[in-house]
Amino acid sequence: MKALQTDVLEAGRIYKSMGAIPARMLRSKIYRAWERSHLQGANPYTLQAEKLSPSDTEDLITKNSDLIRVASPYIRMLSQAAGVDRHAVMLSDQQAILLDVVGDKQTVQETESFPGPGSLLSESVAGANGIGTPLAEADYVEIISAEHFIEGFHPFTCQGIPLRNDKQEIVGALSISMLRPDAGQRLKEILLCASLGIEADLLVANLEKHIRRVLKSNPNEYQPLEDLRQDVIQANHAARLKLEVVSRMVAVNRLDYAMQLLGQAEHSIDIFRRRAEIWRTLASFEIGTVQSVSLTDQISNLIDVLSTETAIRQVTILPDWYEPITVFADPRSLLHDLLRYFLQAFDQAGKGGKVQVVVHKTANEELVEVSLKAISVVNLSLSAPHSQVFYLPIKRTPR
Amino acid sequence: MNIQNAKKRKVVIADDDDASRAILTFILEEEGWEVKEAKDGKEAVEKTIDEEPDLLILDNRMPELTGAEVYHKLQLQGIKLAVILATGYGELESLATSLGISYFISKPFDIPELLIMIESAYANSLTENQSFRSQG
Repeated sequence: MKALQTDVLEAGRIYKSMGAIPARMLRSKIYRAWERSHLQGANPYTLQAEKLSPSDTEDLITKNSDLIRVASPYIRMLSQAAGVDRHAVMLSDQQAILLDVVGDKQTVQETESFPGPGSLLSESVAGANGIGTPLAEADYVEIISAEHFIEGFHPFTCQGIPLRNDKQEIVGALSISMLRPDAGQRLKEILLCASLGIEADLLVANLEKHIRRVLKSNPNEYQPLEDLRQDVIQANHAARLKLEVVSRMVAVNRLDYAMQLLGQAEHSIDIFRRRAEIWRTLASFEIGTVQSVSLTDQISNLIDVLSTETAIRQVTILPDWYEPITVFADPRSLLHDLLRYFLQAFDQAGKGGKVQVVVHKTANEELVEVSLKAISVVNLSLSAPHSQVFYLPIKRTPR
Repeated sequence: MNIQNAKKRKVVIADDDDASRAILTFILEEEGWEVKEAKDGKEAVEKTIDEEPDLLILDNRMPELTGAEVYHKLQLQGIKLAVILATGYGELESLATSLGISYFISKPFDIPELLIMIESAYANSLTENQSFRSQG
């Protein structure tokens, strides 16, 4: 629940006069941010402007060039969504040092001492703010007007969110500041979606590194994996296009349609992340460890990743199992084998054909039989369907 | 000039992903283009022949015919027009260059980047007098 602005103003007055932070007048995240700001020596009356030298800023920007490049379209879209309102969209590194700032001319260029690339916005110098606080909380934070620790930021409503790489490490923060207190709801969802988009694009860059490695170490596997990678990227591409339209809609207050499309964009990003994870396993040729694996889930995931491939080949996959089945296997080898069998089955089935995937336990319940039967529409009466059958243990095999 | 009588520039968007195609259509219509959609390579060839567009935006991985195959078929029929190849393919530049396509964009792309490329491809096609013509 949002704290009343009168309570927040009173909390600020009490803090400045007595040095105590009245917890009950502030939202919990804001209270924690004020407490950290106080303990780290932030001055509530003035921003202790700390900025890197031009050459250090240049070095920092070079070091973070991938993040800046990936975030750039999303920063532009957020700024577009803010429309004609005064605003600033900011990107920082994980230390809360600004890397990029985009906004309207009046706010960003004509406001004296407005933070720019190289400015430090940690809570220790800038108090509770849209960059330092989300980094400290490791979560989305909205800071409305007087909830900012420092008076100079009171005209703004800021929202920020940390950005994570594929290892879930925080690599930076994205924020939007607006000169209107009711900006929050309008832009919160799009900010969250933009952060997911940036994280997805970081993952795309990572997939590209993976495929280059495949090209070097396993050239025979390159083409099918590269085709699949393109298909995986398509979901992320669709999400970015949706977000583009969302930002245009929000700018002209067509919020209902924008929110509907935003939900679809988030769904596309979810699909992308799930498929990217499967693809990364497929593109990794390291030997993994034998463990309990849901075979039916693995097959379902692979069928999902292969959806464009099957559409292109005009092959239908017919999954056939009655219950979820778990086996003991190395998940990487299992996925590689399944992909190979699927591609062989597609070749055998041909255009318009079907591939039936049957998974069932053997009579003694020790093994699972997996068969991929390719049913071709050509010469159906003359040739028997091609089948590939393999077995996997249900229990761990003793060494 | 009477705006209503001004001929809109026409583009064919060929992409098997329904959502991407619909959104690109929305954006390009906002930019003043008349848009025709093709959901696979075969339709892309048919629409290009039937609609005589000024520009073709081609996804590479599509059912029926790939973007590269579409381009090849159009070339064989002597159809010349501005083409942008859009794909997530890592070796995009070498693919496009080997086909003789000058304009290519890597997925996921940014819309302003695409719009600049569209204008450049269109202007270039006018300069080189490569707007659609069939040798039929």
